[in-house]
Amino acid sequence: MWFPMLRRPIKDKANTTNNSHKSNMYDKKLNKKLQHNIKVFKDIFYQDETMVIRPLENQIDNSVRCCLVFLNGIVNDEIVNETIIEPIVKNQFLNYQNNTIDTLRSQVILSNNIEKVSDIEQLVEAILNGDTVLLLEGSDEALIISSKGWQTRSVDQPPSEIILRGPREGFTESLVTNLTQIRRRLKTPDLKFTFRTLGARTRTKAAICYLDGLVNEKILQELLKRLNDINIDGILDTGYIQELIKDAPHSPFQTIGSTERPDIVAANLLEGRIALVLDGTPFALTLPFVFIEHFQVNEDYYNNFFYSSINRLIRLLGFIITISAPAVYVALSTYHQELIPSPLLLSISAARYGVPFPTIVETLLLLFVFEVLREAGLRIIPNIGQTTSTVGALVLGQAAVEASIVSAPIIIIVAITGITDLLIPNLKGASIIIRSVLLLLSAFLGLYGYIFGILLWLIHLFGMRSFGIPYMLNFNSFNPQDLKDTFIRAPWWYMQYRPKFIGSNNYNRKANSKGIGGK
Amino acid sequence: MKRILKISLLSSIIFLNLFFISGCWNYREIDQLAIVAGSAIDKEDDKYLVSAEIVNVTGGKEAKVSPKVVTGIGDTIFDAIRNTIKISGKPLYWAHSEILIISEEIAREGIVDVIDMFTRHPETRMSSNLLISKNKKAKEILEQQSITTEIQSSEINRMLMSQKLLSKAPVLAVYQFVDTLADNTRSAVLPTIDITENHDKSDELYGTAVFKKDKLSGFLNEEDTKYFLFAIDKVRGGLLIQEVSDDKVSLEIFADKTYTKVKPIYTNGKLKMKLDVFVNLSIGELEGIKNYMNEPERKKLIKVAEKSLEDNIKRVIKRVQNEYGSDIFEFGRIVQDERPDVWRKMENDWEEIYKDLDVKVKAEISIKNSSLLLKPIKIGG
Repeated sequence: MWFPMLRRPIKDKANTTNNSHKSNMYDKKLNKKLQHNIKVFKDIFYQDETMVIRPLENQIDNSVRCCLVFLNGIVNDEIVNETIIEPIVKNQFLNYQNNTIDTLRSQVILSNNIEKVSDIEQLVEAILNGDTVLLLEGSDEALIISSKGWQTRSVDQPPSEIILRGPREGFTESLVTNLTQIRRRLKTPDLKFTFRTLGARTRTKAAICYLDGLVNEKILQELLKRLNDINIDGILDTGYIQELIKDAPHSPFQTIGSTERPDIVAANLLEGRIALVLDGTPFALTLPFVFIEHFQVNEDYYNNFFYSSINRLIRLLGFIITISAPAVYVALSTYHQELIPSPLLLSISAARYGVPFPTIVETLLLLFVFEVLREAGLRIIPNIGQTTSTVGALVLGQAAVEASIVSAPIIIIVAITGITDLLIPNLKGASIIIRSVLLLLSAFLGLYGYIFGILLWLIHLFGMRSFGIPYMLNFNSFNPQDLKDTFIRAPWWYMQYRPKFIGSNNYNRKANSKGIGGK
Repeated sequence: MKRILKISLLSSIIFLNLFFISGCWNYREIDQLAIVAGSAIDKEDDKYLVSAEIVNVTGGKEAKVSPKVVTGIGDTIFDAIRNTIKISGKPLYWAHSEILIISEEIAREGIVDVIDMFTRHPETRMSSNLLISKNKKAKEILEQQSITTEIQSSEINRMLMSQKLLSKAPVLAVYQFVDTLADNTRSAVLPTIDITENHDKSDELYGTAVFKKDKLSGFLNEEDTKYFLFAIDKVRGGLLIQEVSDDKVSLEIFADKTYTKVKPIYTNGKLKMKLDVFVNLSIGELEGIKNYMNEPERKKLIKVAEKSLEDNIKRVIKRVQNEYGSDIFEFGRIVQDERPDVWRKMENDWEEIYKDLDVKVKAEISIKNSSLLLKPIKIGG
């Protein structure tokens, strides 16, 4: 490789230095002295003023002494007051004889989620996650009492995937809420959640969801292996993971899908796919991910299948247009004028009269301007949004043509390119790159170059895999069962089988008499 | 099923390649091209004059099309075409040329010298239509003021395209003409164009130019052209004007069920051609007050029309046989197709045999309707 930034980092080296201070921090152990135990936590959280150390004594027998450790703000005060402090302080039967950690756990504290732990590392992680740690005089073990409580965004319609028909719920930043939303849609014990903690410093929780019995074990093992190999200090969004465990790291195409919608995740799980939900982001990952999924929208499955099929064909056609329109126009108008109908040739000729730049320069210029407008429209503060539309529509469109800086057909071509591009928002990055490559090839070699570029692109696509599944799954098939959910969306009564390879564990979608799904 | 799908997909991919792997290499901007709409070729003192009608387009928003005729002179056609650069500045772009007019003078000397350039060059289209200019110079034809369009060449092309409503001129593209030249079983024809000076001066099609090998041997007028087209099964429309008991009737020809079958009959070493002409007509215009939709009157009309059609076709065939001796009716090809054994025997002296070939014509006319009127217009009472 010539570019160091494209090179995959060498493993392990960074690992040892990164965690050095942490390892001696966890060397300390709890012992039976409360004061010592408190100091352990004080040392770990030194200079962190959100930490609260709350000593407690029973009002009847003050030999029952304990201490709460939690972080202010991420615990629910009501839970701490009512389920921990009040029962301990006001308890009538606690005395120096029975004040063991087990009594507290089973008879005093009114919480549904208590754990007895002596490992410092686990305790610290619990505190960081918003739980309360209870230390007791005379015990070298501590209790972790669930008391999480912080502000989260309410469940809302996701702005990146607006639909007309179908459930409007979207994921939030809270992992628990997100998992609840998935669980509510799949009420089966087969639904499994496996947790992993990612990121050395962020300690972000990730839940791997799958339906036992449907999931392809090999893909699941491969995913877990890749997740274990992740070595990074922080993960703030699933985008990190998407890029870190991708099959084709240098490709502009995604081999892992992402969505903000629980219904999409549920549908993917039902097909035997795996989902990865990460704490702190509403975007869940689904995998394996194949190319045609770019063109599938969840609304397709809720609407009439004729209408959905038309929409899907429009999306496919739109993608072909958005990568080809400028390239084909440049090729036809500068190399193959004989392919243009005579009246059209004359009108293009008239439009180009007096335009100083060659067609390819014009096209590149306008495509660049369009991308600038798009990016500006995305970043702009709503109140000054009108400026972009005015500048974009009037100044660039009309005035540029009137001033003979660009010709009118180019404006039409770029407008078509831009609008069709918006049909498939999740292919955005890839389509810009393919379009530019095709355009340059056409400018140098005409349609020959265009075809050359298309072949190059297809070879790349057909060579890719997502977790062992061919990326262009079913594109080379003539079997109607394979094509049922690709270029068209077949009616639901026709989709009795799960997708090839992905649902290989259990192809039959119908439940049989013996239970759920029969092998 | 799978196999069929695969084959059809593969063949469609190969077919699509036609569109993508064609054309020439070089980056040319459209506005740098001098687009030729049509051209005319004359000969003067052993030099060729190639006149090209260039479509000049100006003005970004309010586009104006102003055609101009540019003439290059050279020893060969290619030389003359290249010499136009001296005049126009831009090299001519031939891919959109629709018509090619050749002067009668060149046609009489032999058309091959001219046609070679237009089939050999990658830019010129084999599908552009050929015409022969009668009397006038080809250049003059191109310079006439057009009537419905700005470009004279497209108007001439449209005249040819509209022949299916008229059937008074044959229509041949360069490739069809070259095919016919290469074939020793038939002779070529081309449409003729001239300038009419009846009322306004403008271009007008004038029947057929008859070739023998690659040399022009004579002309057929418009009426004869129509009967010639009947003989080669090319009539798809037009009118038959029939006089019957002092009334003139315009009979409109319908493409549906109008066709001609030609059969060679070989008996006792003698070859005869049999033409069965089926014509589907409607009464398009009626002079007088007789109702020809009545059974007896209509039968009378059909009989007269059949007779005159047969006579006319026979007359035209006889005339071409005697005067020009060129097999423009493609009888040779039909004999070769239907009776290859007979053709092999006659191939070498076909020219002589053709001249004395006995031709039988049988016409069968049906009149199906009379447009909107069932009866003639009533007068008085």
